Amino acid sequence: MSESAEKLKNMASLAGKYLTFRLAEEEYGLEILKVQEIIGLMNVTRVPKTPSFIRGVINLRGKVIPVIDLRVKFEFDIKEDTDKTCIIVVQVNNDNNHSVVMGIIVDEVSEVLDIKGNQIEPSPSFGASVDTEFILGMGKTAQKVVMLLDIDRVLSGDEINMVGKTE
Amino acid sequence: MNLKLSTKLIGSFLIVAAITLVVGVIGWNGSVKLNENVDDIGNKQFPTVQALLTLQQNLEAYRVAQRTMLNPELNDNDRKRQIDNFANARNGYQEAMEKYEKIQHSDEMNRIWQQFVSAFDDWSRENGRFENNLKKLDETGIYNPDRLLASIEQFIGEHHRLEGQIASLIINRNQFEGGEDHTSCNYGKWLSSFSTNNRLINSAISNSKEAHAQFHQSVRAIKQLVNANNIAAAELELRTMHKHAEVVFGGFNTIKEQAAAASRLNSEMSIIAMDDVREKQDVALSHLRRLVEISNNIANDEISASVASANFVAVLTIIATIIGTLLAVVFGIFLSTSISKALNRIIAGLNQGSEQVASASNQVSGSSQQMAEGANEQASSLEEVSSSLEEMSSMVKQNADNAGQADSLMGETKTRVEKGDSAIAKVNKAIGEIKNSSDHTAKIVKTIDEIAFQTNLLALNAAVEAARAGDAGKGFAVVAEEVRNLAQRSAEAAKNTAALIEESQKNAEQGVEVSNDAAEAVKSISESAMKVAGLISEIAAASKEQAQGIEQINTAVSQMDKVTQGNAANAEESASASEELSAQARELKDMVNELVKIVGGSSSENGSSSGYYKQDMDNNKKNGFINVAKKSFSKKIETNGKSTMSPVSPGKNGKNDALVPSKVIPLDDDELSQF
Repeated sequence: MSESAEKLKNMASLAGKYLTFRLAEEEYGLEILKVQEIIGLMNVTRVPKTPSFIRGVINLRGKVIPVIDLRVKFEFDIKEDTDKTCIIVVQVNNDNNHSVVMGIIVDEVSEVLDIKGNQIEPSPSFGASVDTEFILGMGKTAQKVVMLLDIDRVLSGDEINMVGKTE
Repeated sequence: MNLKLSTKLIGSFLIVAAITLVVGVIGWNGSVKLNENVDDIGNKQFPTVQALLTLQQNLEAYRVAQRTMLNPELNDNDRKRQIDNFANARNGYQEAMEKYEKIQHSDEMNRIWQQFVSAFDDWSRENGRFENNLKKLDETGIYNPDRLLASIEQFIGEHHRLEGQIASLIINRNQFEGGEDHTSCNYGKWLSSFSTNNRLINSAISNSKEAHAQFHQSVRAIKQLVNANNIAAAELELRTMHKHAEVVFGGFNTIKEQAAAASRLNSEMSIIAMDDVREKQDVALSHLRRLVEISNNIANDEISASVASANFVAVLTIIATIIGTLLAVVFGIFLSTSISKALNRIIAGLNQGSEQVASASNQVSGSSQQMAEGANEQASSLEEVSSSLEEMSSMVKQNADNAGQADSLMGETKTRVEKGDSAIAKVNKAIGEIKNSSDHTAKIVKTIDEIAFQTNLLALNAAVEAARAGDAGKGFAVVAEEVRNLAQRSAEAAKNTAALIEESQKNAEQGVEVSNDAAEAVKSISESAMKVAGLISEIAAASKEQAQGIEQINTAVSQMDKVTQGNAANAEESASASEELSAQARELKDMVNELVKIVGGSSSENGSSSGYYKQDMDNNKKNGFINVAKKSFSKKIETNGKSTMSPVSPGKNGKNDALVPSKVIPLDDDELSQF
C-alpha cells in the first residue's frame, strides 16, 4: 500500500467525536474520550520553579490537577484570560502508559463535533526538521478547518513526567 | 583757566607786588643786618679796640715813664715831665677803662676783662709801691745816688789823701800842693753847686761846711807850720784838723747813708719797675691783647658776615628783580592777549547774536500776526466743535438709555437661562437614572449570559460523558445536545438583550452628551449673557462718563474760546514787542561797535550792518509781516507744489549770517494772494 493510501486509512480511523476549542483564532479538536470534563477558569495556584507553560495547579473537587497554558506551549502571544476561557481536563498517557490528569487552558470551548473519516486530511509536512506528530490531522467541517491534536504528543515524555510530578 | 577777569588781574598784580615786596623785604633785611653789623663794629668793636689800645698805650706810657724815672740822670724838668706823663697815662687809661666798661661786651670778653681788671689792680698796686718809693726818693732828694756816692767817695778819698799827705808832710816833710782852699776842693766846688731837699743832707752839709772850711784852713795852717818847722803846733793843728775831718767825714757818712738809702730806694724801684710791675703789666697786657684779639675777631667776623650778607642780599635782589620783571612781562602779555582775545570773541558773538535777534524779532512779529489769524480760525472751529459736541451729547444720552434697557433685558435673560440650566439638570438626572437602570439590566443580562455559558459547559460535559458512555449514552447525548441548544438560545437572547441594552446605554450616553452639550451651550449662553450684561453695564457707565466728559469738553471749549480771544490780543502785543526787540537789537549793535573801538580797531563792516538792518525793518513794515510769514509758510508752499526757496546768499557785509527773509524767499504779493 502507498504511503498516502496508508495515511488515508489512518485518517479513516480518526473519525469520531471531537471536542473543538479555540486557541488564538484557530480551532483545535481533542478526542472526546480523552476529555474528562470542562470547567470554567478558576484560580490557578502558581507553582515555583516550573516551566513557563505550566500555569500552576487547581483544586478540582479536592483533587489537585496541574494546568498547562497551551498558548505558551504553542509559543503563541500571551493574551489575557477572558470570561470564556476554560480549562479542559484531559487524561494524558505518558510513555509508560501512565495516565496523567491535567488541565489545558484554552480561549473558548466550541462544541462537540462528529467528524467522519472523509473529512479528515493528513497533517501537512513542513520538512524533516519540523515535528508535526502532535497533529493527528486536519478536520474539514462546513465552516472551518479544525486541527485535530494528539494530546499525548503535545507534551514530550519528559514534560509529562514533570507535569505528573506536580500532582 | 577760567577765572574772573578781575581775579586774573588782581592775581597778576598781587604776584608782581608780592615779588617786589619780597625783594624789598630781602633788601631791607640785608640793610638792617648790615646796619646792625656796622653799628656793632662802629659803636662797640671799634671803640672797644680803641679803648683797649688806648689803655694799652697808656699802660705802656706809664711803664715808660716809670722806666724813665729810674734814670738817675734825669733833671728836674724831665722828672716833672715824667710825673706829668704818669698823670696823663693814668688819666688816659682810666678814661679808656671807663670807655670800655660803658660798652656792652660778650661774656667771654667780660670774663677776660675781669681777669684784666684784677691783673691791673695788681699792677696798680705795684705802681703804688713804685710811687711810694718815688715819693720816698723825692723825700731823699737824691735822684742820682750813685753819682753822689761816687762824688762823696771821691771827696772822702781826697780828704783821706789829704790827711795822709798832711801826715806824711808832718812826718816826712813831703810837700804837696793844694788842699788849702776849701773852695778849690772838689767838695767845696761841689758844695757850691749842690742843692737838695734832703734835710739830713742839708743839715749834714751845713754842719760840715764850717768844719770843711776849717779843715782846709787847718791844712793850710799845718802846711805853714810845717814850713815853719813848728811840728808841735802842726801836730796840734793836726788834731784839730782831725776833729774837723771827723765832722766832715760824719757829714760825708750822713750823705753816704742818704745816698745809700736813695740807692736802695732806686734799686727797689727798679726791681719794682723792672720785675714786679713788668710781671703784672705783662699779665694785664696779655689779657688786654686777648681782648683786643677777640674784639678784632668779632669785628672781622662781623665785617665778613656783613660782606657775605650784603653779597647774598645783592644776589637775591638781582634774582628776584629778574624773576619779577619776567613774571610781570609774561603776565602782562598773557593777560592782555587773553583779555583782548576774549573780548574779540565776545564782540563777534554779540554781533552774530544781535543780527540773529533782529531776524528773530522779524520772525516773531510775522508769527504773531499769523497767531492772530490762527486765533480767529480757532474761534470759528471751536464753534463747530461745540455744536458737534452737543450732537454727541444727545447721542450719548440715547446710548445710555439703550444700555439701560439692554441691562434690564439681560436681567430677564439671566433668569431664563437659570431656568434652562435647572431643566437641563433635571434632564441629566433623568438620563442618569436611565443609565442606572440600564446598568442594572446589563448586570442581570450578564448573569443570564454566565448561566448560559455554564449551561453550555455542562451540556458539553454531558456530551463528553455521553460519548464516553458510547451507545448507552446516545439518548443522553441528544438531551445534552438539546440542552446545549437551549443554552445557546439563552446566550443568544442574552446577547441580543445585551446589545439592546448597549444601544439604549449608548442612546442614554448620547442623550447625556447632548444634554451636556445643551448644558454647556446654556452655560456659555449664560456666560455670554453675563459678559454682555457686564459689557452693557460698562457701556452704561461709560456713556455716563462720556456724557460727563462731554460736559467737561463743553466747558473746556468755552474756556478755549476765551483763551483764543486772549491769544489774539497777545499776538497783537507780541507784534509790538518784536518791534521793540529789533530796536534793542540795533542798540546792541551800536554798543558792540563801541566795545570794538575800546578793544582797538573799528571795523566798518559792523557799522554798516546796523544800517542795513534798519533798512530791512522798514522794508518789513512796508510789506506788513508778509516777508517773515513767507519764511514760516515755506512748508505750505512746498506742499502746494511750489518751492520758491532760493539759496541763501551772503549779505553785503561778508557776514554770512545776515539772513534777511526777503532775500531768502523772494515772493511777490501775487503769489501770496493765493493764501
